[in-house]
Amino acid sequence: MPDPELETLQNRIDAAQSKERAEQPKAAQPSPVDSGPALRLSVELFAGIVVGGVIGFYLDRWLGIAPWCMLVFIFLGAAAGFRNLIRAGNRDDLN
Amino acid sequence: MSEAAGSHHSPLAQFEVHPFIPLRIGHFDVSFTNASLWLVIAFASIIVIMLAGARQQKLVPGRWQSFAEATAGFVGGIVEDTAGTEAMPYFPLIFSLFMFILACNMVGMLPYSFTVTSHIIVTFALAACVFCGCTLLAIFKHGPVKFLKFFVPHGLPLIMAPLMFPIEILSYLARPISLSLRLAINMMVGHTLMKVIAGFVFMLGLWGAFPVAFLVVLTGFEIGIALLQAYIFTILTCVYLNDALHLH
Repeated sequence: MPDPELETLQNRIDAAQSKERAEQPKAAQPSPVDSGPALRLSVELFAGIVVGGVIGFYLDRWLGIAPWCMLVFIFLGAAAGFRNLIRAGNRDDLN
Repeated sequence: MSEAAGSHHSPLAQFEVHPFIPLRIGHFDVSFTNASLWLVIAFASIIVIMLAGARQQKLVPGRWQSFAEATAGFVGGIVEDTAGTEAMPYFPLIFSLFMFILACNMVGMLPYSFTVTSHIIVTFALAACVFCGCTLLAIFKHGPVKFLKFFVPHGLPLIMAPLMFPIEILSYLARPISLSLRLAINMMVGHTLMKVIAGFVFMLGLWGAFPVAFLVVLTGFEIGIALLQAYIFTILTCVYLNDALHLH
């Protein structure tokens, strides 16, 4: 619906928005993610170890070589947890 | 006294699932429980709010419409910023996910309610859907070979590849676990803490005014956590979607 009054209103809104955007730089606004990084990141480490432990446990059961797969996979899982931890840290810096 | 109080007013009693209408299909227990009831309430509240927002679309929005528009714009911004414009076809899914988690968290803040998202199985079901969806999307979009190459980081010395490949796979498998645990643990910890401090109110008698004052602050804080956790779940879903779409 081509309403001249609406069109001029839209133009004024656009002009005001672009002016506002130019005035404040985008990076200045803090993200709400900043408030609780500690718990968020500790979960990453925990999840890695859980995944490694569970996979190791069932591989052991399947192959019948009691503690060995679990030992190896818990350490691999911990490494994976650290990998996710570093990734999450880098992501927060980017945001 | 302590035994009776312990069994009925345990801070963890709020997470117990009680069947209202016992039902059974074959070997499966499909009873309508308090968890089901609050899932239905959360679901109904989304539908009511969103339909009220979409009922009459005006140029100058009213309260309901501006809420619906603001949340849709907010989630749309998250999707576009983290996963790019190619991810916009998945916006309805991510918006539904955000609204569902937000509604479950918020409905859980009502007194005598049941917080569905404090149960790991609920959040894990959501996270598993996201995980399976992103994995299938990546395999179908890029093919299985390119998908496996995703697990070998760029510039990796060939000697390290046999070690890094399982670590990368495990870190990929850890994603749904961390995604679901983060939401469930945050909701569970907050609600348990509130019940523990509410228990102090009766123990301290007249001095119980201090825990009450603290509870008021904590309730506001918990509402913030409920919002934040829904936001974090959504933004991480977008990050995983971005990985699936671009595979770098």
